[in-house]
Amino acid sequence: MSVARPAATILRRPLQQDLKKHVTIAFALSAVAAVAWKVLVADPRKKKYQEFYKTYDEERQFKRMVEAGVFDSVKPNAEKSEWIANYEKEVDQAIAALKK
Amino acid sequence: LSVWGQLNLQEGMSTIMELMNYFHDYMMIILVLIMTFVTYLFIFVITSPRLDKYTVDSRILETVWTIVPMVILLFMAFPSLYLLYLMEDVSNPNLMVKVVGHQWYWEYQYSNSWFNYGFDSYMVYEKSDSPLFHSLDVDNRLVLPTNANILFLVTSADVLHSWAVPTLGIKTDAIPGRLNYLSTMTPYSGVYYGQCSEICGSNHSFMPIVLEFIPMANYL
Repeated sequence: MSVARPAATILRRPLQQDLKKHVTIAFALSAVAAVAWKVLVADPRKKKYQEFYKTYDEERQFKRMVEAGVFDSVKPNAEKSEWIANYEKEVDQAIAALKK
Repeated sequence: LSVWGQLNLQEGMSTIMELMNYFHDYMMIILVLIMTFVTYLFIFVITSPRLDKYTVDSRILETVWTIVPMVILLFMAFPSLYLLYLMEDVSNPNLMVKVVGHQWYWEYQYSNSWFNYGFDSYMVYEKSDSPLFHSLDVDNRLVLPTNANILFLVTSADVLHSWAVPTLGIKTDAIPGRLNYLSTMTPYSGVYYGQCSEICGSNHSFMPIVLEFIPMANYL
């Protein structure tokens, strides 16, 4: 009948033996954390700026802000522009669709 | 504009501030790497049952923990200096604005060789049901054009102030007897807010800065 031998006890420099293992784990964990930050935070931010640039229309946004009364130096016209009214209708329809 | 609970930098509305946001993300990668490494080893050292009373020195360890931080610092320094010099570059400004800090308001002057116009910008004390932003809105905003290099010359008439607009990534001290300069360019029209950033007396918190960027066609 064979008996399993217990694991050999480390008697020489046990802390250093442990440290080798744990420093490796620390390196690996920190690399994973750094890559996670890059993939989850840094790259999405860059992509967000790129997407914004692709669709940004300064003239349209400026007119929208003027109509909303954001600026002091440029006042909105008394009547709303037709395209602003259509845009607001589209937004209302999109919100109603989301609520369904 | 800052919102409640905001932890990060404001959205970059100028090219320099966008680059600063990218640089901040890059620095955070390095910081997260170091923080994770140190925290894990810290927890290990606290919870480990092992003990070593006889290590008094280690030349290899000292060399490693000198060289590695030096390399990390090099990785941090190059993009930092690149961005710093980019910020300082003032090439062919299209418009120059003088900003003078007073207790407790800002004075703006547009001037060139044939035109000089100045005005004061005081905070508006709003009522509780007012739609204005609390401690941020002013009576006369500084109106500027988009897509133009603007040079600000900042000084003070009395004590130290600091002229800052975080979303454009600009801040400089207003020092009496000294002219500091700032340059910015934004492609986005809108209203951008800032506040005095150097303690200057009792109403230091009540001298905000409001910039209104509009397209060049409307500006002229």
